[in-house]
Amino acid sequence: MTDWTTLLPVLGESFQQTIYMVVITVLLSGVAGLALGVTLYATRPGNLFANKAVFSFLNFLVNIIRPIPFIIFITAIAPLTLIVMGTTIGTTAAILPMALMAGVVIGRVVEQNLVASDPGVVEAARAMGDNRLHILWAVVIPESLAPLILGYTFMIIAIVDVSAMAGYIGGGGLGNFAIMYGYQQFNWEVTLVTVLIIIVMVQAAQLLGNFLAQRILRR
Amino acid sequence: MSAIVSLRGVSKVFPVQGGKRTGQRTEPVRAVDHVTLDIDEGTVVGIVGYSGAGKSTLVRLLNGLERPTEGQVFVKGQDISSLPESQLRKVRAGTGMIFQQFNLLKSRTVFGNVAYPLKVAGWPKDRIKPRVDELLEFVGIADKAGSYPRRLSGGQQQRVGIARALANAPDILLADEATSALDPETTRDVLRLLRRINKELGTTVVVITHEMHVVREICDTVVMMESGRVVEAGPTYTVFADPQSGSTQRFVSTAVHGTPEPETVSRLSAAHPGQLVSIGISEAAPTPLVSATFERHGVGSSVVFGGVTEIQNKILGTLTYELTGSDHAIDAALADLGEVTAVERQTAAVERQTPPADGAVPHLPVPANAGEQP
Repeated sequence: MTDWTTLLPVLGESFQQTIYMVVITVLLSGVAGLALGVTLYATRPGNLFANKAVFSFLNFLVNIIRPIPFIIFITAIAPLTLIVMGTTIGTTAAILPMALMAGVVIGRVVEQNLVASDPGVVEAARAMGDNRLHILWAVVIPESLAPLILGYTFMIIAIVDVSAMAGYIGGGGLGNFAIMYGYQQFNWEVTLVTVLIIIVMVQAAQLLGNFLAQRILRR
Repeated sequence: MSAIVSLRGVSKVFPVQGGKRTGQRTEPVRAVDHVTLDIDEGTVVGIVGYSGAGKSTLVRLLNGLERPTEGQVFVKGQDISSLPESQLRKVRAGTGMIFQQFNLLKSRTVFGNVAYPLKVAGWPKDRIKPRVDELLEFVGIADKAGSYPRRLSGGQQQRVGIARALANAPDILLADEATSALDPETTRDVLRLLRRINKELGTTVVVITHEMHVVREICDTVVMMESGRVVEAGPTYTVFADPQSGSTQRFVSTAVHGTPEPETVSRLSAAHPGQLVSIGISEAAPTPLVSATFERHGVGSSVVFGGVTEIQNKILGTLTYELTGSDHAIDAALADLGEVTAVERQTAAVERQTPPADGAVPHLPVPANAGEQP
């Protein structure tokens, strides 16, 4: 029998740690990724701020970081984590590699959605005498809002997924809980319960994302 | 009339895109090639040509969306070819533009779309609403202010586009294939609206199109482009009545029907034993004059094929007559007509000399005001 009276508080704490890591990571990487994605889009040849050097550099950077398996990425940037966060272990230390990796991926997701948008509206805004920065903010992003919301939903779920690996560097969270109390103690019940909680979290995020995107698409 | 826009030796060359990596350098694209052109204030000008002729690039040079590689573009006397971006924005704000695909902001309502250029131009909030209402009223979609563009028909969307382009009361309105995505009836409505804008607001309208009937409906002057060059330019009636270049002739024939194709000539010859002759109908040779000439020479005539239209309130077209009478009388009558207009004897075996004329009215019983097909 599983001793839920002692496990429940640990599960509660793990849940909080996951929420903490995911929320902070989503906020940081969301803003950074948006900036990166919009810059990639805007500096692309033929676009508003076409700049081959900047585009090539950022494009190269994204292509370098993205394929690194996350578990290796955590250890690879440990020196940077130490400088920035002051420690390489714990929940907070896990946020930096998570936010960096997620920021790069979000950047690509944002870029792809913007590139797929209609260049005609950008031209129309330019023909009206609008300035280019304002066009990015007032035309390009709002016109792609629905696919962007779906892209972000996808990324939030990916971040929940990745947060499970934070346990490796003592980051805690639901992933760590499932490994320690489930897998390592041969307790499938604990693993199953953890998995169910994660599924519910992911479903909730997806439903909310779909709902928001639908509302925008329906107009 | 003074020129509101002047181009002096303007060329636009696009560098080779990195698409082809075959080792061989492809030539840079010379989209606009040494164009010198004046657009008179208060007129409706049609810039015509096949796709790839450089019309769209040319129109984008007029509001600084593209910079010329060489030459100068003057808008209201100001050379805009070397202006910095911030100055160009002012030029653009004073020039309206509408597009083939309307290019409305789908994330904003009709009201939001029309209000956008006003916000960009820094209008105070309390003045934006009355101005937008006025514009929507003008283009006839005041009831759609709260709708999103997706909910509107193509014609309604283009009206929003026009209202948006007129928001800052521009002196020049550029229409880039503005009716090409619309059905014929909606096209006519939009063209009528453009005409009204020109008449009531005095706006100079530059219409880019590959459809000659658009030119026929609203343009005062035509500029024919081919491979980036202007091959012909002049008042619409002159260009239609007497097209000089081959491509202009082909274009004109798409809007002014009436010359029968060889197959039609064969059919007509079989049905009509008399001599078949196609006569160009124009200001110089209106139908009463043609009829009178035949009568004077004692030649019997009846129209068997053709189409006549009017351009800038002047008649234009081609009618094919079946003539009966002595060869001598027919020859004399045709010689008289040949002085003032185009005369072409139609024989079934003869190779066709004129381009196809789809939609012409066959077997028209009476001559005179034979209306042309819509």
